[in-house]
Amino acid sequence: MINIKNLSKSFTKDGSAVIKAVDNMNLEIKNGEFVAIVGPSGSGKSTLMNIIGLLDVPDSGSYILNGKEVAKLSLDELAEIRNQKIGFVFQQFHLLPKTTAKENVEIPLIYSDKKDITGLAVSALKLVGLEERINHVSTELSGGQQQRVAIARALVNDPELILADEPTGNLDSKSGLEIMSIFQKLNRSGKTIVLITHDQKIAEHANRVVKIVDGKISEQYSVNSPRDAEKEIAEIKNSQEQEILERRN
Amino acid sequence: MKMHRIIKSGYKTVMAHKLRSMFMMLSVVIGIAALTVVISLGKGTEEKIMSQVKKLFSSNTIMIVAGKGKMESNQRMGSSSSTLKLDDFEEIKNRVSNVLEWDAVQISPDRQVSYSGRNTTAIISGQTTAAETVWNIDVKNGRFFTEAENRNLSRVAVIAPNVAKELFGTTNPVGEEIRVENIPFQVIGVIAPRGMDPHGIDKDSEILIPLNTVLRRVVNMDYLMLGKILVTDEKNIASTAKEVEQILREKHGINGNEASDFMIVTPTMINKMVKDINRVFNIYLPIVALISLIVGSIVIANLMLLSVNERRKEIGLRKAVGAKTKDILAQFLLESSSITIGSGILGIAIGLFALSFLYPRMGIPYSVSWGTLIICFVISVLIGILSGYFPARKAANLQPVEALN
Repeated sequence: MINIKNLSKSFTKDGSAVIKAVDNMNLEIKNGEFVAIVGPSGSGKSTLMNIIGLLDVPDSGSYILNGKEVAKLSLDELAEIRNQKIGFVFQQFHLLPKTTAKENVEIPLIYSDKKDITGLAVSALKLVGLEERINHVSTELSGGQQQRVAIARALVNDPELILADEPTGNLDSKSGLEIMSIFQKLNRSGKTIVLITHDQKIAEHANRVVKIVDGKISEQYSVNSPRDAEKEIAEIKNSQEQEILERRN
Repeated sequence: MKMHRIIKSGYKTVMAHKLRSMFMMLSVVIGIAALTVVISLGKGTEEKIMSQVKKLFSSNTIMIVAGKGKMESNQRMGSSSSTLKLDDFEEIKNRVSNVLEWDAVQISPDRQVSYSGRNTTAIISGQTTAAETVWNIDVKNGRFFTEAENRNLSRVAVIAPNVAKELFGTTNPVGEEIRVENIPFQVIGVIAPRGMDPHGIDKDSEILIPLNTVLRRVVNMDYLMLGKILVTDEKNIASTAKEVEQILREKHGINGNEASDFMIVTPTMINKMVKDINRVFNIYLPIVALISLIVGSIVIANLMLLSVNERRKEIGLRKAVGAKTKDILAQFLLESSSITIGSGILGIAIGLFALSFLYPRMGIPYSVSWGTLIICFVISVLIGILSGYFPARKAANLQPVEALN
């Protein structure tokens, strides 16, 4: 699905200093994979993600998405691929203020040709377990709920590829695990997922981990037995119940 | 296809930012309301003056006024030249085939008139028997004077309604004897009201007397103040006016570049004069209103620009999930133009309301036409597009990455 060769992207900082955010990188991601990209802040993982998500263009190198050389596509074609093939989840959620969960999820559909946008938005919200919060304004929701609205928005056009940039970064650990369990379910249903995180534990929910330092891949490995977010949530519940029981005694 | 969704989404943003939208609307509502009022008042005033002028000066008439002055100068009454005489008109009638009828007038203003102890002042207007047709005079009661009465210098008078009211009250004036500064006249008719003429002369305070009687018995002179010619063929009125001018110059011995001792007024000139008077309404006031609209559109452009900056994240997100450049452009243009179109309609409504409220209280005539409403509407659409375009283009060209971070 994703084939990156000799990709580079640099920025000028403070006018003169050139920072190589992505430095001659090679990376291949296959259909149906769940890949976690980890690395310290400033390592270039967000820049890589923006290029993969067609939000940014590389300085040099080649990026082939689904067999198409991205550099040859027009701005409108890129917008169409972002709309149809890619779903984004951001660390800051990026929900519109004063707008309900349903309306937020409808946004990608506005720019598609699909019919019954309300029905599709509602079923996407059901998929992330928010059927009770459909008409709540985004600011009335908790952080975890807001991120689930954002995931529903990423899913609503049924994309093949889901890109998540630090989706758990602003959440407590339990909400984070809930998000990870959604991703794992989506991956099992056949979606390709690329996740950025600096949290090693979160990364171990993926099938493969790619470590980036200074714009280069420093290490990558397959995870033989990924963590199961659902089990972890159950364990937390159990230990909390245990604690309550112990206190009573 | 997707347009209705973008419109719907734009409507939601407008409603979500009520205060901002309200300020945008206010600036256009005021301008459009002012424009509606000003244009309608201008049109109304012009129509009123025009209709008054047309009553006295229909499109098949040529007026000849003694003296060199311009229409606007203060030659309201009493001629400043003693060269225009009756035989001038006889000669014109004989030589110009397009002349149907003519009337010549000498006026004596502010004369004391009395009837059995009652007094009033009236304008004595000496006219020929053709006056009835040439000036469109409608005798309501009694009759107009005859050619024989004119020839014999008869002391007969046809009085206007105000004179009748002042002197006679409710009694019938016809057959009674009035005195114009000691000269007795017999009232033979009363005419229908005619109102003010464009020079502010009250036509309803006139006493019409045969021209020869006025010249010999009242003012004691042999020249005229003005004359009016009716033409057969309206289309050739300009060339007829030229001919008349030529004959009079010749007869008065004026040649070369010398100025005439009379002035010829045609309906075209009258129309132009009324338009000139109304320029303040038709040009200057709308310009003032337009300036207020320009200010309004600057306000909108500013608020839109502010809103683009404020909504960078929204724009970035929309682009990240698949909005094309033209979708964002359309969204922002729709937002600004829906606000200005809404304000335009509201402004027109407020303007019309203000007019209907002001009219019975101030009596300023107004006239609302579809043209005015369409102009106001089109201006508000244009303001929406113009003031929204640059902010919208700025929004549409934002890179998704820049906008999101």
